[in-house]
Amino acid sequence: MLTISLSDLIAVIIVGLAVVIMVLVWLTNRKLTSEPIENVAAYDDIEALMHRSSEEGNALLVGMGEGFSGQNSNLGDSVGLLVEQIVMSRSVFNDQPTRSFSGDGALACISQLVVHGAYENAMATELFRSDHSGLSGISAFAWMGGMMPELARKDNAGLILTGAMRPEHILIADLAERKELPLVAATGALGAQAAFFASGSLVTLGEDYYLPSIGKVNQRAYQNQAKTMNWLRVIVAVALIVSALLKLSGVLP
Amino acid sequence: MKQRTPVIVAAISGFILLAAFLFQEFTAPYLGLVLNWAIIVSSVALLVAIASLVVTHIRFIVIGRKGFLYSIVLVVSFLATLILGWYLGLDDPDYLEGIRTVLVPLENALMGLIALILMSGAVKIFRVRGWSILTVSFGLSALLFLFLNLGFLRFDSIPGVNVIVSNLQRLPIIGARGLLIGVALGALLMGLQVLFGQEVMRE
Repeated sequence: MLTISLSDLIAVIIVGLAVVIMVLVWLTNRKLTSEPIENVAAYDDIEALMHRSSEEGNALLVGMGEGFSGQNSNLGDSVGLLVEQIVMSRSVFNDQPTRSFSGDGALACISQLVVHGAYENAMATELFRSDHSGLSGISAFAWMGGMMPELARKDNAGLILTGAMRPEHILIADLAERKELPLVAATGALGAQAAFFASGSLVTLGEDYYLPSIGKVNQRAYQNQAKTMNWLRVIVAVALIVSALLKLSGVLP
Repeated sequence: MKQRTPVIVAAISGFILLAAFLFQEFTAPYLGLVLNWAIIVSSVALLVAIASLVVTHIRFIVIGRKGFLYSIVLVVSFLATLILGWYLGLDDPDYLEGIRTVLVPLENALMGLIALILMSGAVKIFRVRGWSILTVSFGLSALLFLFLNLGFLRFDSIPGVNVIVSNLQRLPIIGARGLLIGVALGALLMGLQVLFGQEVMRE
């Protein structure tokens, strides 16, 4: 007899519901007739940074966060890699190569594959060098320590932080500000979001991080995901209110 | 097809693991096995990444890149730690003490610096982002909850006020839970996108 705990059952229901809504949104959204949802401001600023980098001929730096080190519980690195792929695919032929720094071995290896893939897709593998993407330290602090000397160089156009971050990484934001370097911080970690918000850098707030769309790249997936998320938000809010009422009235134990 | 094969393999593995997590009664031994595979693969990845890091810094030293002194420090400290660890053993108390003597003061100094920068950030926020409802509420709530959690306010003689204060102290947790629900939904959708292979089908 197959038994499943209540919390697992709720998880199954939520996943099933998300799949159903995703399919429905995908089916109804095949023709983009309705007004599209605007891009997240922080991701739009990444596009501005990419333009600035190619116009000024300076390098763009991408900080990938502490990665799959097991000290964080989000899927941030998957989004970080997606952002890295978009940025790399549009900056292969820049005067100065875009460079990325990871805080974890597995993330560094995958990141290097992503960077190499971007050069391969652009049929420019001869421009790829292994130091375009690499490990800068194997913990949150070591990663930050390895990144900061690179940030202090003169030929940088901007810095994109994307992935799993911590509030302590505000030190990077502080150095970027002192070097007058524009910084975009895209992270799903709430503590880091609050710290970067206080630093004055451009930051994704709440679940904005999971909606990466830079310019027109990833637009359809973004529209679908944003609409699915809106529906899920409504359903979760209604479910929470109903369960709170049931709890208050004594129906739920 | 070249691009689709890894996506299909990743999607099938993802779905199997998702099912295995939900029905652990039957799949617990297999989950342990898969977890061991993941640990081995990530350890190998770490070795590859460290080798790449060291080679990159040795190249910086050889070509005399600006700031190569940092590279020398990195390579020397890496080799010293590696050789001593190999020679003395990872459990050797002197070796562990030596590493701790370097790491703990460094991390403490860094934390002190971070505390100062966070404090200056709290002041700078109004200059950088201007006076808006968001910044004012952010600043005020940070101050209020900092003050409340310091524990100076004691209303033991007035139980009603104590209840109100303790409820107020829970407000940030309630807010964080609300945000976390949103973040969890975002993470769930991103995970499903990866599983369905939508992530690679961008225009």
